[in-house]
Amino acid sequence: MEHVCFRYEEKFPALRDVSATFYEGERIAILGNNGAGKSTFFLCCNGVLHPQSGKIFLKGQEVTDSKKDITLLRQAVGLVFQEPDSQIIAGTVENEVSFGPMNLRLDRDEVVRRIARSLERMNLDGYQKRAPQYLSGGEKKRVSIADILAMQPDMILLDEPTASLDPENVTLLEQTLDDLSLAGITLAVSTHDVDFAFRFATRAIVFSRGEVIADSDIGEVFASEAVLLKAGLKKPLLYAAAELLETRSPGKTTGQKPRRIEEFRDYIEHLY
Amino acid sequence: MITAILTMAVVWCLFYGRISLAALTPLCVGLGAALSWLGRHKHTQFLTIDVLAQTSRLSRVNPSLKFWTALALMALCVSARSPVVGIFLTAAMLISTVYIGGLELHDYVHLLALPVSFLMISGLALLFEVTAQPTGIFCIHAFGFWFCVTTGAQIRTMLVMARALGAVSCLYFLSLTTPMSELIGVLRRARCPDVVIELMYLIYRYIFILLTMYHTMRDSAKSRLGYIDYRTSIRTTGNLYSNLLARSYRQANRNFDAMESRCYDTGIRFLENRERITGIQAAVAIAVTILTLCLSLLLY
Repeated sequence: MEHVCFRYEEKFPALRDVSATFYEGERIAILGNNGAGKSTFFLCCNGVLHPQSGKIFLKGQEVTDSKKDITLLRQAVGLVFQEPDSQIIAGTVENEVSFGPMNLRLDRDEVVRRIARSLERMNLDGYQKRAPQYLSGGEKKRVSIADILAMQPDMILLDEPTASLDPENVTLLEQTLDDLSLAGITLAVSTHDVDFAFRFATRAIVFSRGEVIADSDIGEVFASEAVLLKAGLKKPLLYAAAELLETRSPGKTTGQKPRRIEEFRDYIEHLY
Repeated sequence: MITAILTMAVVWCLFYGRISLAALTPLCVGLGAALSWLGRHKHTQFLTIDVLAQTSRLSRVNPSLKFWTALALMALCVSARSPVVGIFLTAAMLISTVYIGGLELHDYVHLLALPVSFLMISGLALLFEVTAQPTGIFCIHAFGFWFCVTTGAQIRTMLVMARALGAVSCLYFLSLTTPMSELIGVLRRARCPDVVIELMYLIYRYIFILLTMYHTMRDSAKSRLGYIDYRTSIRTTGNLYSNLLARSYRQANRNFDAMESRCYDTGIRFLENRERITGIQAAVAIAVTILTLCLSLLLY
C-alpha cells in the first residue's frame, strides 16, 4: 500500500497518506485508539473500500479497479470482521463456509474439500448443519475465520478478534493464530488488547487520526513513550513490569522483554 | 389466545343454522380450547423457520420435487370450487410436516397462528353483510344497521377460507421442510431473476436479525423504566423504532461489506446438497397431486 488516502462522505479523512508493506509469514499488530482508521485500513487492504488516492499492490502487481484485480485481491487478503453477526449470512455453518468458495466459481468437489479442511482446522467438525446464529461467541468467531480460510488467502486481517471473547476462547484463538502462522499465512490483527498484541505480534503498525505514526518491531513501539502517548496506548503488563524490574537492576537488562508469563519467570531468574 | 377467540367466532358464524346449537357451541369451545393449548407460549428458544427446515426429516427430499409439488397443489387449491379440497390439503400438509417431517405440533400451530388470525379477521369481514333490514340467518343490530350472516355468505366464506388455509399449508410445508439455501437453488434453476432471489433471501434473514435487535433494545429500555407509564411507553416505542431503522441500515451496510470482502458479485450462492428423487417420493408426490385434482374435478 502506497500513499493511500480515504475519506468517508462526511469529508473527515479516515486515512491520510498511509503506506505499509506486508511480507509472507509476518505477524503484525495494528494498534491505535478508536477512530484512528484501523478498520478503514483493513477495508482498503481487502478492496471493499477504494481509496481516493494512492496505490495498492498485490505480489508486486498494482491492483486496479477492474473486477479481475479486485477479485484477486479479495481472494488473497481475507478479512474477518469484528462482529461475526456482520459476516454470517447463511442458515448453516456449512453453507456459511461455502459462501466464499462458491463466489470464486470453484467446482463442487473443490468447495466440499475446502469446507471440510477449514472446519477441521478450526475444530468445527460436526458443526456442518448447526445454525450459526445459535452458536456461542467463540464458536461464531471460529466460523467466521473458517469462512475466510476456505478461500485460501495468503493473508488474513482480523479486526478486534478478541473482543467479547472469554479468556478460554482467547487462548483458543491464540492457538489458532499460531497454527495459521506456522502454515505461512500472513496475519494482521487490529486490537486494543496490548497484552495480546505483545504476545502475538513481531511487528506493530500504530495509527493515530488516520496516519501511521509508527511501523516497527513491537518492542520498539512499546519503548517509545511519544508514540504511546499520541496513540493513547498503554504498555503491556509484562512489558511494564519488566521495565520496572530493570530500573531496579541496572546493568542486568536482557534487551528482549518477556511476552508470556512462562518467559517472565525465566526473565526474573536471569535478573536475579 | 386471539387466534383461538377469532377461530371460535368464525366457526360459530360459519356453521350457525347448519348444525344444532347443542353441537355447535361445544364444538367452538373445544376448538378454541385446543388452539389455546396447542399455541400456548413456551419458554424455549425461538427457532427460526430455517432451523426447523434443517432438522425436518423431509429436508433430505429433493427440493425441486417439493417446490413444484407444493406449487401444483397450491394452484389446484386456489382454483377449486369446493372447500373440501382446501380442507384435504390442510390435513395432508399437517400430516406431512408434523408426523412425517417430525416437527412438533405445538411449533406448527404456533407458526400458523399469525396467518390464521388474519384469515379469521377476513372471514368475519366476508361473513357479515350490512343491510337495512334483518335478512340473514343471524343478525346483529348496531350503529343503526343490521350486520347479517346469510347462507350465501357462509358458503362463500367457507370456500375462500378453505382455499387460503390450504394454500398457506402448502407454503408452510415447503418452508418447513426445505432450507432457504436449497430454495435459492431451485429458484435459480427455474430462471428466477437473481435480484428477486437475493431480495427474498436477505429480507428473510434480516427479519430475524432485526427481531433480535428489537428485543435487546426493548429489554434495555425496560430496565431503565422506559415503559413505566403510557406516555413514556409511547415515547420509548417511537425512539426504539427510529433507532431500529438507523441501526438496521448500518447493519445492512456492514453485512454488504462482509459479503463483498468474500468476492460477492451478484447472486448469492451456497453449496447445495442435491438429493436424487427416489421412486417412492415421486410416486407419493404424483399420487397426492392426482388425488387433489380428482377431488377438485369431482366436487366442481
